[in-house]
Amino acid sequence: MNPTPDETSVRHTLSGILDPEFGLSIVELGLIYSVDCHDGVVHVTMTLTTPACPASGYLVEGARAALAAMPGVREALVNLVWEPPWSPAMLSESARSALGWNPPR
Amino acid sequence: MAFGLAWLAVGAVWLVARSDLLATHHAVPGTVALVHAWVLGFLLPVTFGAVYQLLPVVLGVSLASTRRAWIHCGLHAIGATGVVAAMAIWRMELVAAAAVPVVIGVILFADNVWRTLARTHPWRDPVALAFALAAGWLVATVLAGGLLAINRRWFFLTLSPLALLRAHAHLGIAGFFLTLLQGAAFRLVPMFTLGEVRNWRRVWTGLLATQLGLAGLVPALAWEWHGLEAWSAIVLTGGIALSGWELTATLASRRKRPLAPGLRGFAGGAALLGVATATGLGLALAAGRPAADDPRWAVLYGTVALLGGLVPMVLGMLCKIVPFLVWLRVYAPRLGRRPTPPATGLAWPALEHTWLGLHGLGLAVLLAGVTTINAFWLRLGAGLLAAGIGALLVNLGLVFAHLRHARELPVPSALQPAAS
Repeated sequence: MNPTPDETSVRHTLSGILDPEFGLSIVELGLIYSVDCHDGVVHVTMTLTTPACPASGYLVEGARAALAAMPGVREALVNLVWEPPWSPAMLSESARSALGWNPPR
Repeated sequence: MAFGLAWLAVGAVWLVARSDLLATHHAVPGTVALVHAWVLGFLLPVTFGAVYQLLPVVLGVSLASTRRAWIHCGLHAIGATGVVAAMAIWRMELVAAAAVPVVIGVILFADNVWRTLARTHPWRDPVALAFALAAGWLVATVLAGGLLAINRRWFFLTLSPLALLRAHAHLGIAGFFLTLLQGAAFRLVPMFTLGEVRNWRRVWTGLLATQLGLAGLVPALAWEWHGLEAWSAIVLTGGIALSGWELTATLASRRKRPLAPGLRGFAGGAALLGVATATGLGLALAAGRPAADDPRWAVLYGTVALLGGLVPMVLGMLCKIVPFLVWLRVYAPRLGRRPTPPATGLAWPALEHTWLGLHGLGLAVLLAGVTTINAFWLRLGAGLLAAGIGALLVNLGLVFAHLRHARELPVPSALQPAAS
């Protein structure tokens, strides 16, 4: 029997997709805004660091393909949004450390 | 882009073979041909390729005509090769004839840029406006260049050929390249460093002051109006200083703290472009006085602007853009299906560092050779510079090799099906 996808397993899967410029996963970069799993349907809302990103279509399609390959997923939907706009405050601790950015807390 | 990189190799070898030209006057035929090999052969086609790739990305609209862009690239390849070859044998009627496809190509380029920009509101965005203005300056540059070649053969203009040559050079270097950089830098640097533009008003003022200065400087150089030349150079310098100030602030705001070699080359080139601007201002203020007549000043000015400023800025951006374009072609379609390296993982940092170090060292030795008129230093400096460029070309070749042999990576746990 296939396991039921949940937010943790979805985020784990998406962490395999690296941003081409920074070499960090789209999860670490804080690009995943929300994950919703219901009856095998996974709905992810994500953004990008800039609307001018030339890889935007590939990143969205890559996320969708990775989710669709997860066991127990019947349908994968990825919605790209620009509101709220991405900001560096959304970077995870590990991403900040990898980038060498230590803002005052 | 491949055509431009081939000319980069030719230009580097040519510089080593004829480094003695830097000990002479800047307007001797050999120097004019060598400079055009670098600018018309290398810098322009690479910049055309970057503009065609970046314009849709920066503006979020598609290019007006991809077909016209290909026609332009073909015309430029034929024309630029002809112009440089005709200059090398100093046959001005052949230069004028070979310039025809270059001029037609540049008009096609400008038309394509303007049509693409017409789909947006360029007057609201300094980056888009910079692309539009730069295209206009380039049309003026190639028309002036063609006119110069015709005039050298048939002498119908009473203006000094040297003065016209200076006006033509400033139209191209400051009008096209600098204007373009004053816009594109403020979109690319934040994108590559996770930084942000701190003050858009400074970007606007820097761009507009530069345009105002250029509008006065070009006729002042052509007609040798020294008063207007000095005032225009002051305004132009002010504009460049504002842009430099904002670029420094943007770089300081970056969240990706370590600067990759490409960005270091870009930033170092921008700083040396500032040095060249200060030298140019000094020459403009001293115009007509004996101190400014020493030909070494003009050679130093040109060498710093071109080999110290523009070349590392363009090569630095190539270090970022080429791996990204190769990644888009080879690895982007695999995202989410197979493991992919990041675009930054395609380049060889050691080779990029080697380029940067040798370029800086070579430039310093070359400038020492120009100042002391020393043939050994000139040859050594040119050799170091060429060795650095060789390292960069090897690096770019290794990046391009991914187009034929994509790298296979082990599948990370995240992309492996979970155990059931």
